[in-house]
Amino acid sequence: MSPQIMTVLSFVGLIAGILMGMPVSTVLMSIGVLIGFSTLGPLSLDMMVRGVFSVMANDTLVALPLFVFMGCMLQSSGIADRLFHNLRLALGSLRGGLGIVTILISTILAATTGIVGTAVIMMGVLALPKMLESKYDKPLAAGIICAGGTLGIIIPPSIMLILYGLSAGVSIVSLFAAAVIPGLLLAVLYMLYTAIVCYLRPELGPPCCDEELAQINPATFVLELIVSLVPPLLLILGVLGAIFFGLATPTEAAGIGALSTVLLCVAMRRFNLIALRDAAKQTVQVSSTILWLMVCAQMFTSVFLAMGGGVVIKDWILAIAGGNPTVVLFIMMASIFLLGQIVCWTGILLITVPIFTPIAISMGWDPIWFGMLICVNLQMSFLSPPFAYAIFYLKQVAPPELQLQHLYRGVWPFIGLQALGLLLIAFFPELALWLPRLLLR
Amino acid sequence: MPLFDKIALWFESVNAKVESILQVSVYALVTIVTLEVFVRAVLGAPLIWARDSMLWFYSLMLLMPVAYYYSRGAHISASDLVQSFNLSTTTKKTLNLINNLVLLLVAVVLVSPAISRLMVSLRISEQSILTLWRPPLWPFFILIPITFILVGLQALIGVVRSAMALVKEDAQR
Repeated sequence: MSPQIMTVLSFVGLIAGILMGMPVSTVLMSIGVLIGFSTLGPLSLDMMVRGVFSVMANDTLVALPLFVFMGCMLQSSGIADRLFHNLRLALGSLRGGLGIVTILISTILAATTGIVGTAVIMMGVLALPKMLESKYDKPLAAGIICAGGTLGIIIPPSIMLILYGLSAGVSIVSLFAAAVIPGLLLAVLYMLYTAIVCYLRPELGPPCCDEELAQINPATFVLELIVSLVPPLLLILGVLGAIFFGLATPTEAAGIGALSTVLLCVAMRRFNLIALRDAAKQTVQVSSTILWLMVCAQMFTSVFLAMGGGVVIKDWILAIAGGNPTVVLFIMMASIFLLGQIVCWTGILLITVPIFTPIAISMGWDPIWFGMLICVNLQMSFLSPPFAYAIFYLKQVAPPELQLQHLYRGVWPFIGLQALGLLLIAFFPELALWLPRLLLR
Repeated sequence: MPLFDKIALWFESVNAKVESILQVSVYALVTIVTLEVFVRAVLGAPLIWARDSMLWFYSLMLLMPVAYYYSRGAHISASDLVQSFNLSTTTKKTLNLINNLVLLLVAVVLVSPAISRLMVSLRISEQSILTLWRPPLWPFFILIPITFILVGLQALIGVVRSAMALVKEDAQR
């Protein structure tokens, strides 16, 4: 059978399997075995077993469970509680101040953890009741928390950047550096939107905390605010500083960060064995399912590319786009966005990146810039209905009065802001490329 | 309780135990990585065994709980989307049967090349080349066939359970 027919069959099989509710790993493995056996013969099975070993022998991937463990322990550390309390008092008296504080803390959490769930759940527990108590508009409050939470997957250290770097063969340290400005840009866009919308319509985000503010001593408050900022800033400096200044590899920095969060829990008297055990249990589950998906994606892509599927897709995209690079980029971004409606980001990333990266390189695009576009685009999959994981995380901890329709309504403006961020990075590549050039000269 | 149910429950409880024991690998990873950084940076003497043992604990954590997470439905899927289709129970059970059958077939097909690779590693006394410690590689390669065997057995349990549920439903009708 020709590679063209096999490519069509592979994608029909992928979509059919996913829509049948099959785990993405099973779909990838089974299609890999089928196309491998029918085009390359029994040799393809050996190739797939080698694919398993290549994921096992990759020491950079060890950073993934360590960053997940760091995020899980951070949830128990209580650093967000103190910070939220103090920043709420500092900015809460502004229109939309509580929303801005929530995004600010989500940004800080994003720089200390590599996953989305941590910030969404922590802010859902801490900030959502306060925002609802202050008569914030429910969809706006939900949108702020969900969008703030998605920063965790783009601002380094991020497990998405680790997986992208390994799939595309790009330096993870460069990706970490490249993601800083796009991540902060999105955070600023979210804060500006919240400030403007609440300024124009004060009933959506009214000021709060006036009575509490009247009772506090400004000098002690400023000191308390600074003290509450120290632990997260030290953690950020320790982990990201060690990576950017070449003192440690991402894996080593992740290990130090993980140990630091445990020590932080001890220092803040929040350490207990149950929290430690729960964090380890969650780490094993999250890491094993993501890494197993990576193993299966490796099995699929190794035989898919070996039978010529990558070349077929490249030819098709170039033919549809008529060789126009902007249309090529649009097709790739649109297909990732559409896949984000039904498949989790890990599945999309591990399937599309090995296929799209050679096309990007043949177009002469910088792989770091292209990676940033993919990662910001994938961030949208956390918010875009119907299957928006950030919404599901928040629903788990939201009070019953916050209905699913509030959550769905609330995320749309933030999806628009993410699309704006994507366009800005597409038109101004320096947003992604300036920092890695500066730091890694 | 029929014999099949007893065997299936025993198998799943063993897998659940393995998963909970694997939590130790998280502590081991944190300890090895930070110890290696400390010893290298402060004492100027890197640990010869750190990199290989780190990879072994990581591989253990990656592969050993895979079958258990299949039994718990924890692997990444679009199951939420499928739930929203409002399918009949018979269709859901049939899909479940097909999904498990596919997984069983794939696992069975991959066991043989995984064992072959392990045998090659044993025959040539393959060693790691990451550091001068050079431990044997078979403890890595043995994890691959074990994983496929466990996944295959879990899928077999899923096939039998789904088929039994379908037969039971048919008899009730």
